[in-house]
Amino acid sequence: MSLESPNDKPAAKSRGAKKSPGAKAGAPEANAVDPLKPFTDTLMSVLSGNLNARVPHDRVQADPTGFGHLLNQVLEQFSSAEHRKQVAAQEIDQALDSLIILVREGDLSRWNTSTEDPQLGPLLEGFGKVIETLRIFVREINEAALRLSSSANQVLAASTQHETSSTEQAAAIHETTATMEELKHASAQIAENAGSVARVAEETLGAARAGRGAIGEFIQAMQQIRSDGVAVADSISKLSKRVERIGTVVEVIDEIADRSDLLALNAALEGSRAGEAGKGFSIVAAEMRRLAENVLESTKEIKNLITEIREATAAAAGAADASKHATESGEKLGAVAAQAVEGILAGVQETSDAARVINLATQQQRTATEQVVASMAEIEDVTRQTTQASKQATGAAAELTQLAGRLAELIKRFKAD
Amino acid sequence: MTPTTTPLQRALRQAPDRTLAAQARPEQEFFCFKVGELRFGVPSENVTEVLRAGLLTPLPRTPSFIMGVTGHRGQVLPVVDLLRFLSKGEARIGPRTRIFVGVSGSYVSGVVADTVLGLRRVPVSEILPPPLGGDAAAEHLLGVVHGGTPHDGLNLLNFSKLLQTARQRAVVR
Amino acid sequence: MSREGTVNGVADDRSAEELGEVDILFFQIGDSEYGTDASQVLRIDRALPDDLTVRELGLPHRGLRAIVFDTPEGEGHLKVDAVNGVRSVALAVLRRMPAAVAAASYAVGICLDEVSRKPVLLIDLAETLKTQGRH
Repeated sequence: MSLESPNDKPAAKSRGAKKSPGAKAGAPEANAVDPLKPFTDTLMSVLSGNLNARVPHDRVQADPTGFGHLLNQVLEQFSSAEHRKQVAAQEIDQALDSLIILVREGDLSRWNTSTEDPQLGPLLEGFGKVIETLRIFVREINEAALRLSSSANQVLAASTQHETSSTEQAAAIHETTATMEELKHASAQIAENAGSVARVAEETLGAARAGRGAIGEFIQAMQQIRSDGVAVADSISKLSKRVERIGTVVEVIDEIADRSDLLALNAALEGSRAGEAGKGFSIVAAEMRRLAENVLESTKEIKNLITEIREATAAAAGAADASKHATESGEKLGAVAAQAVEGILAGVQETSDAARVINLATQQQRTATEQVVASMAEIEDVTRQTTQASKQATGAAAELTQLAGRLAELIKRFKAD
Repeated sequence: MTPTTTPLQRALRQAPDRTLAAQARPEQEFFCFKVGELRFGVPSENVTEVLRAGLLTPLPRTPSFIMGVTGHRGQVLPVVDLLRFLSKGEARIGPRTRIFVGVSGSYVSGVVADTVLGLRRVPVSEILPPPLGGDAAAEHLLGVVHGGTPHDGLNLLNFSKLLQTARQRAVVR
Repeated sequence: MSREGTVNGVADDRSAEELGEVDILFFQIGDSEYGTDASQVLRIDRALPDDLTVRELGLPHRGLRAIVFDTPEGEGHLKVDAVNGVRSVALAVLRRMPAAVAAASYAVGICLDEVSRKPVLLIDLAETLKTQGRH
């Protein structure tokens, strides 16, 4: 404004004060007595701004030339043109004012400037159209800003959410990685244990096979013992019969010895009665009696022996019987043990197989786990990046929201309705 | 120069030609047996035979020392239990129990003996009188013989008197 | 304590003397066998509770049989376990009771029959009844 030329103001003022110089100038110049003077005065008046100044009527009539008339006509036309010009200027001013207000206040709603001026009309109409378009724009922008703000908020929320999730995911992945590490160690442990189990099972298998062999031998031994026992029982039975026979024979011997004893006694008595003559007889008889007594003593011993043998054979028979029962139950137990060992063998075989399978499976698992751990590391990396990006996105979204806010704020200055 | 002789040569010079005859000292022969814990001797002339104790037929209402009768050589023999007779217990008949046939005059009787010891010649000088003040059994003893050990002694029975008493006791009832 | 020389029974029964033997009925009381004059026996009957038992002959096991014999006072019933039968026994194997033994009055003699395992006591049935009467 400071750069405004000093002539602008007076120009503008002059325009406002157009009438007054014209009205004031008319009076001083009326003194001239010149024929043309009315015309000149009139022109001067018009030139000074009094557009209504006309060649007075009397003069016109007095003028045979018709110059006054013509001049008046020119002036009339000029005045009307001026008038029109003034009106147009007014309307332009009005329009400018409206525009200024519009620009200053952003209020597009109050644009209703119109004109009768056919030359200005299209211009104002054009302005109106532009403003209408602007109004529509503003309205749309306003709506868009509102929507943008809302969307930006949503984006921010989503982004924040995503960031949180991403962080959580990162933590989870970290944890998972740790777990997988543990799992890896665990499966290594399991593989090792399964290896030990397989080894132990292998040893057990060997032991059980040895046990099976031993049980087989045991059963064979039991069978041998049983058949031996049968032979023994047979022998005992034979021995028993023979001993009984001996007993019978001994009874006969005993009987004979007893009779001999009696005979000898009676012979001695006979000899005694024969006196001196029977003396030798008596001696023989006494000797015979001693013999018989010896025999009886011997048979007594034999009988005792037989009794002992009987008891011993009975005991032996009992023992043989018990041995038979024992070996039978031994065989049965051996069979049971053999069955049990077969079961153990089958079980251990299964265990061994299973342990081997577990070993293999855990080794595979370990490999798989290692792969998973590697993948998890990658995922973690990606997730970290995602989190980073997410944070950036959140930042951007926040900024966007701010911008959307500001936009909305700005748009609010324009009043479309 | 004394001729040297060995102890054996000297002994043989003095040895007899045959077994020395028993010294002429009076002996008595006894049939010796055991019943219960007691050892008895009966003069051998009172004993005719030794039998096995077979089955006895008990008799009703006879003295308890008569165990019953047995048949021997067509003769019915009463069998006497010495232990009961002498009130020294009671005899039991087992498979080896003997019965000896004792005679005294016209009386014959069987007597139970657990074990027959045999005939034994006892020097009369060794026969000691039965202990005085002994029990009732003492009156039927000829005497006693002390052996080398306390279990070796003999109670020598007066068998004739014993049979007589037995008969009297049976009849008196 | 039998007196020697009385070995042979003196025959005072004519029929017995003529025949040289006598019918003996053998019976069982408990474990013991006894003999009695068969002619004395009327019949063998089933035992009744009131029938006679002689304690000295031993107690019958079941005593299901009774020997019925004739006495001047009427029939006598002796309870026995079994009747073993009647045998004709030669006089040569019969012995009187040794006098010195002084057994019960009904024990009249001994039969040394070879059939029996041991001497069989011969019983006078009528005498048993007298004995019982005394008790």
